[in-house]
Parts: sequence; C-alpha cells; structure tokens
Amino acid sequence: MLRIPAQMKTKKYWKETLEAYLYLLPAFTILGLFSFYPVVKSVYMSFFDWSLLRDTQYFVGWENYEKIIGDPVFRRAIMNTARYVIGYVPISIALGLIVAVLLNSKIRFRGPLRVAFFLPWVTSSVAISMVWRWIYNQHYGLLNMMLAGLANAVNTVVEFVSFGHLSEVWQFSNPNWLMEPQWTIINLVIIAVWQSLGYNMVIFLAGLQNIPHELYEAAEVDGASPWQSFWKITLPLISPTTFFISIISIIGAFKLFTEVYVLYTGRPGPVNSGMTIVYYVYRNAFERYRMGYASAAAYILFAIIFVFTLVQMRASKRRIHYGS
Amino acid sequence: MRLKKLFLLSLVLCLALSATALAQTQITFWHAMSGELGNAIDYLTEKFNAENPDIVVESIYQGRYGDLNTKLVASLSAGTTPTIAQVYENWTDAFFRHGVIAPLSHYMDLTEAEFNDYIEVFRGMNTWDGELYTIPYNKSNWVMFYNADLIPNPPETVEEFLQIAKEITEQTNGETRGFGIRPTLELFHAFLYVNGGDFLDADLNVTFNSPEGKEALELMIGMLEDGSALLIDGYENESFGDEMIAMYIGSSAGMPHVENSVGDKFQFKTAPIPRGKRPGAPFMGTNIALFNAATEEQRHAAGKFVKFLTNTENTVYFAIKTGYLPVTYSGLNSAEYQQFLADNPHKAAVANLDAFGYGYWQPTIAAWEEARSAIGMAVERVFLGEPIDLVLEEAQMMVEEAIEDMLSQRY
Amino acid sequence: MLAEQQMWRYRFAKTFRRGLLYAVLIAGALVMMLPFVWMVTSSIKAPHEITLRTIQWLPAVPQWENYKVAWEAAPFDIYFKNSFIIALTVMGLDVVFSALAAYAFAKLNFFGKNFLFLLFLGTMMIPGEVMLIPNYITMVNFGWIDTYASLIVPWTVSVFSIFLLRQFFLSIPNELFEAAILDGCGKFAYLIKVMLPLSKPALVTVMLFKFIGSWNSFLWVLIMTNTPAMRTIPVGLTYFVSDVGAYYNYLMAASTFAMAPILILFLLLQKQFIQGIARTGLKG
Repeated sequence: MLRIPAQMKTKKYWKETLEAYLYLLPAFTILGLFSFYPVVKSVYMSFFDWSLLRDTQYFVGWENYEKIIGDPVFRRAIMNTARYVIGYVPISIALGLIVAVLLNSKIRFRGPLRVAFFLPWVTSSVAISMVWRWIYNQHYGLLNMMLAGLANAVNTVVEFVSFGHLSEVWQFSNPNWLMEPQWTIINLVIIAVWQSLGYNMVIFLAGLQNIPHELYEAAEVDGASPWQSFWKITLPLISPTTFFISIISIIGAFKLFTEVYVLYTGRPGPVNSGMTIVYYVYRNAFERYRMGYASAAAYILFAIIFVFTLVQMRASKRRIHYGS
Repeated sequence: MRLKKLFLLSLVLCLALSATALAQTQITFWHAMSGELGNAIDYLTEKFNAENPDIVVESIYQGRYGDLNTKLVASLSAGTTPTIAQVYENWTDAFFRHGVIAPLSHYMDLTEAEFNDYIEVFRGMNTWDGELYTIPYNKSNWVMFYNADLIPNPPETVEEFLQIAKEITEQTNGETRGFGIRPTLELFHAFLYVNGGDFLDADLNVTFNSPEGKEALELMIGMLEDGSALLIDGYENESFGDEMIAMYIGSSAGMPHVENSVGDKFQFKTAPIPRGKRPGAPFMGTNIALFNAATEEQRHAAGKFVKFLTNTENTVYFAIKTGYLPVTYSGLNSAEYQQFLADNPHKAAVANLDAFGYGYWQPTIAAWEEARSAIGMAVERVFLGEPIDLVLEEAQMMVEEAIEDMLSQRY
Repeated sequence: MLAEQQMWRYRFAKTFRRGLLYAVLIAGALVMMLPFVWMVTSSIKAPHEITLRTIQWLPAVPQWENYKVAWEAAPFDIYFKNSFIIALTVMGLDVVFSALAAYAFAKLNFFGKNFLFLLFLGTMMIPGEVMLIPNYITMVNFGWIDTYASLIVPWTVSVFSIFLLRQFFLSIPNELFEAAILDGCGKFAYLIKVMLPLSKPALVTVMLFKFIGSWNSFLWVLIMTNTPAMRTIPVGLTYFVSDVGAYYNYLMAASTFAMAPILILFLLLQKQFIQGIARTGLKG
C-alpha cells in the first residue's frame, strides 16, 4: 500500500507530508481515541472467550471464527444481509439521483417538494417503526387497504372492458407482511429506500451544484435533449458524488440492524428472516454477553465490506471525473 | 475562561457531595419504568428519602428493558454498576452464575413472617441456591381479556372457550372473531401448561416436544382453520379495541393500553386463562437485584429501600398506580387493594387469589434468551404451515444445545 | 407553415413533459408524505381512533392536549436544551475538523495518503455495537460519564464528512490550486478563501447530516449518561412505547415536536442548494 514514489526523496514532499499531518491531526486524534483504539481492542478480544460479566478472559485463538463460520444462523445472516444490500443499494441510489435531478431544475414548488422527500430522514426511528408497523399490519394497515382498493379498481375495469368475461383477475390475497418471512427483506428495503431517498437526494443536489451551468446551455444550443444532457453531462460530472454515495450506501446496508430491531420489536423477524450480521453481533454481545465471539463476527463483516469497497474503488477509478 | 469556571464549579460540587456522602449513604436504582410507572417509583423514592435522612436513593429510568440490559452489561464490564436494578430472571441467572450479584434478602432483616409474606410464586421465581436472591417488584400475569358485551360469562374450560370462540365468529359472520392469536412463545406456553405440559422439567430436560405440546399447537392451528380465531400482528389490544376479536390472552401490564383502545366502545373484563387438564396462571415481570460492587453500607441501605418498596402500604400503592400486582399476601389482601378491585371489576381476574395457587413461570436460566427464541421460532414455523413434529424436534435440539452451551461455559 | 407546426409540436412536447414531471413528482411526494400525515394526524387523535380497520385520517375531535401530555411525560425542556447544545457543537466542530482533513486528502501529496484514507474509511465498516463497550470503558477512565464531553467529543470528527468533503474538494480543478500557490497564496489561505466558499453546498450537507445524526442519536446517549439532566430527546421518545402496548397519540405528538427543529434547519439550509454557484472561469 505504501508504494514509494520518486518524488518521495524531495524535501518539498516531506514538508508537504508534515503539513498534511497537521491538517489531519484533529481528525486523527479523535478517531484514534474513539475508533482505532476500540477497533484494536475488539480485534484482540475476538481471539478470546471474552465475557462481559467476568474479569478473567481466556485465549482461544481462531475458535470464535471457526464456530461462527460453522454456525448455520450466521450463514443465514450473511444471506439475508446480502439480499438486503442487493435490493436496497441500486434502488436508493437511482431514485435519489432521479429525484435530485428533477428537483434541481427550475420548477415550481421546488422547496416544498424537497421538504417532502427529505422528511423521512428527519423523523425519529421510534415513531417511524410504529408508523410502518401500522402500514404493514395485515388487518388494519394502509398497505393492504391500498392494495385491496387497487385490486378492486383493476378488477372492475377489466370486467367492464371484457364485457364481464374476465372477473377477479387480480385475486388479492391480503398478505401478512410482518409475519410471513418472505416479505421481511422486502419490507426493510421499502422502508430504507423511503427513508434514504431524501438523504441521497440532498447529497446529489449538493453535487449537482458543482456542475457548471453553461455546459447545459451549450448542449441546448447544440440541440441536445434533456435526456442526452443527462447522460453526457450530468452523469459523468456527478460521478464523484455517485461514487461517494455508493460506497457509503453499501457500507451502511451491510450494517443493517436497527431497522430490523425496531420494526420487529426486538426480534430478528419471523423465523430469523431478518437475522443480519450485525443483529448476530448484537445478540451475542448484549444478550449472551459473549463479546469476543461478537467481535469475531464483526470482523468477518468487516472483511466482507472491505473487499467490496476495494473492488468498488478499483472498478470506478477510471470512471470518476474529478473537475477537469 | 468559562471552562475554568465550570471546572471550579464542578470541583466545589464534588467536594460538597463527598462531604455529605460521609454522613449519607448514596445508592442508585436503575429501572425501566416510564410514564405513570416511573412517577410511582419517583414518588416512593422521595418518600423513602424523606423518611431516611441518612440514605439518598436515586431512582433513574434507563430506557426500556432491552436498553436497561445493555446499560447493565456496559456497567458490569467497567465496574460502574448501580447499587440495585430491575432485572429479568434469565439476566439474574447469568449474573448469578458469574457471581456479580449478592443475595438481596440478606440485607433486608426479614422476619420469617415477612419472608413468607412474599407471594410463593414470586419467591419461587426469585430463588437461587435456595436463597431469595432477588426481590419481586413489578410482577404481572397473563389473563384472558374479553369483550363483556359479546360474552356475558367467560369460558372456564378450554372446551367452553373453543365453543364460545366459534359461536362469536358465527354470530357476527366473522366480523368479530372469537379469539386473537399472535404466534408467540407465551401463548404456546399458556395452552401447553393447561394441557399438562411445560417447557423444561426441573433438571432442564426439554418437555415441550411431547403429545401435550403437539396438542397445544394443534388447538391453536385448529382455531385458525375453522375461523374462530384471527391471526394478528401488532399489539393484541389494538385488534381487541377495534372489535376484530372478542378474546385474547395477554399481559395484565397492558391494561392501560386496553383501556385506551377500547375507549367506551364496549365493556371489557378479564378472566383467568381457561383450564384444561389443569388450571394455570403464568406470572412474569421483573425483580430487583443487588450488585456485588456495592459497599456494606450501600447493601444495607438498598435492603432497607427494597423492604420499603415492597411493604404492604407501598406495594399496594404501586399496584394501584400501575396495574402491576402487589408482591405480598398482606398487600393483596389489604382492604385498600380489595376496594380497588371492587371499584375496577375489569381487573378482578388479574389478582385472582386462586391463580397464585397454580401459578407458573418461564424457565429462569441464562440460556433462556436463546432457548426462547428457538421455541418462539418453532411456533412461528408451525403457523407458517410446517409439520409440528419436525418443528418441535428441531426446537428441542436447539434448546438442548443452548442449555449445554450454558452449562459448559466458563464462569 | 411547417415551421409553425414544428413549433407547435415542440411546445406540446414540452408542456406534456412538464405535466408528466409534475405528476410524477407530486405523486412521489405524496407517497413519501403519507406516513407523516398519519403521524401528525394521529398526534391529535383519541387513543381508540388510531388503529382501526376502516382507517380514520382525522380525529372526531382534535385532541390538542396530547401535545401537552406528551411534553410533560418526560423532562423534554431539559432534553431539548441538551439536544441543541450537543447537536450544534458537534455540527460546528465536525465541519471544521473534517474540512481540514478532507483538504489534506484532496489537495496535498503526502506519505501514506492512500493508506490513511483507507484506514479512515475502514472505521466505518465496523459495527458500532462492538465499539460501544470499549468506548464506554474509555469514558469511565476519562471521567466523562454524565458530561457533555462524552456526548460531543467522539462525534466531532466523522469519516462520512471527511469523505464527502474530499469528493467535493477533488472536483475543484487543480490548476487553480497550483496557480494560487505559485502566486504566493498559502495553502491554508487557499482553503479558507477559495475551497470553502466554492464548496458551500457540500459544507451545508455535512452540517445538516451531522446535526440530524446527533439530534436522533439514542443508544450512545443512553449508555454514556446516567441521569436525566444529561439526556436528549430520543430518550424521551422511548417513554411512549413498551412491550405490551404503545401510546401512539403521545408518541406521535412528541415525535412531531422533536422533528420540528430539524425541519426548520432544513428549510433554512436548503436555499444553499439553489445558488448553483456560477463557477465561470473555474473550469479546467
């Protein structure tokens, strides 16, 4: 990682290094105390049978890691987490970008519309989870009420158009969103997309302000359609922001936990369908007091995310346009 | 400049505090009681502090049970535990096995009469190593809530219960179902127990994978299949208040929520859980534990405080204010509490005296957290249509594994 | 004639697109808002009006006193004061420290740059749950339990902010930087005079997110404090939900007043996204 460049030997380089470290000093101090130190400590703990309720801890080598990898619940957690990441990340980025671009154009009610999209990010998770528990409720939830209404409307129209030959084409089954395990990850993706759309929108909006306006004017003079300028100007020039959002979203998505915990009131969803890697970590740390074991699980997660991020960084290196 | 002032101020404060500490014993009580419940604890704490100038008790809300647990774990790892805290029995067991709690009853100067005054069921839930290690505090039980407008006489036996549930559904054309089912471990336990079964025996052998267990699950599934019950998610009191169901079995601690969702739409009452081969009343709720880190003075102060909290007058005060049960026979039988029940007939079953005679509770072992999620998952799987035999078999294996794991841990 | 027809077609297409755009945006906004509408209207309902089979959007009689009851259920005056002190301080310090670090990562050439950046980024990949206990012990050792220090200091630097600002700084052309340095402008002066003004939208974004993150932080606050005097709003919100039921109306009322300050902040800051800084002459 520390490839030594030719300029290394110059005095200027070292002077600049010193200067850079000064800029980094506050960040390094705070992160050192409250991130690097606990990380190092928990890496160390992961090789111990480390109980939070006991003073003496026992070295066990790789035992924690071996046990975790052999645990079917952990493998389940990896699968669930992966499903969530795949479902959530692309949708939330794409929608965030679309909404940001639309709300960056000169339209009326731009301010109120931005507020509407941003609202979900602002609310406390306790209230949000209660609202969504109501929405997903089988009997009195909003979702089934709306779907039933929609099904009814579709059926009526189809029946009318087909002169009564086709009735009940959409047989609404009144799904039990919170109790049927096949919906768990979908539920979580919907909530997460709803919540993060405004968040991604704001970051994209900030990024869009960096694109010089005259580029669009020039394109319009050349007869480019808005669609073309989106692909030829917006997308390439917003790539540093897109890169940022995708890295952050993937890291965040892999750490899914709180959303499950609050939506399913302290349980990992029906039949473990919402068991995620961090849920697994939490359960072992705080419900079973096995901190060493939990730390080991956290570092397996770390390794997964790290590889993903490196691949992403490599892959996108050539596709990001910074400034010029 | 301001920082300096602040620093000086805090220094002075520290000194002042430590000066008074010489004369007074400081103890802290961490709990998970908010709202009315928290107010009741605050009131009692102030009263105690006023009566005992040599002791200062600080009672502090530390979030809901899960949060309180996390806080306790953090404080145990750093040696900053409170003097006493509310705990569930399976936490107590873990704490007991690791030797981080002390037997609270040792510091309470209980006479034999006072000891025996604690309701037997509650003593049972709080006994480790033959000693009353923790003291019952906010105890509740599971009862049947029913819509008294639709059901004038509540069912006493399981047969009557099934019958009434069916009738209600037919009467209302399914608008209101007889019973509401949430596939939880607690509901399974209720039907399992009255059917003569239980989760574990005294030697921690799994007993729910049995004909009794299978029948209990079949009974619930059967009610769903013939439409006399409705599968519900969310809090039961919500479907109950909206008259989607006419009966449900749930915690007496949820009483204020039931009152809220029912409003004045109909009359509701409570009854004991219908009996099958035997009657059964499940008891739950938390207890108070004393942590080892406390000094000798603090232990005695804590003992005095907990004795005060659970004396007849105060346990009745707390019960009336919060809907939890008095923890002593004298409290239960007190004129004040009996008057309260007479004034609130819908709460009568909650403090049904007979129920204390056949009360039972969930296993109080450290591995219970893991075991209960295994059994809870089994119940969910059954309701998703998986074969009962297979599911119970697998749950048994998981529970046995959890218990084995608990027994083989280093303490 | 032909030109006129084309013109007309062009106008029609434009109007149609506009209309479609509005339809999509307003429909989207409605879907996004729906959960809130329920939240806010539930905050003035009577408890038995909330979870019903036939949804009731509005209360029969608005129960405004829900707000009063919710406000008095927990020491919200103290919680609000603490939330403001903590969120504002964290926001202010974070943007300074993160801008400094981001500047180094974006514009300076130094030994171990990529390694350090990955190291920083790596800390985001560790779930906070495993760092909580070690951090708690650190706080105990520092004597910071129950002080603002434990609630503020660890959050004054975030890799999120550094990373975001770095991305923005990177997209400001290097030519400008080199020219300015050649002209004798110091690196720090360049940061203050050129970089920061040009990155206003990014700075505003960082501040907004930091404020919200701090405002809604729950577990950390609960673990690092023992007394109500040091706690913040999210702790108060837990008062209304328990294992056996929820006081929806009070919870929704409290959540509504809890989010009001953030909403105001957003309204104030969102103007910054409209400025669309004219960066004429800055292009590379």
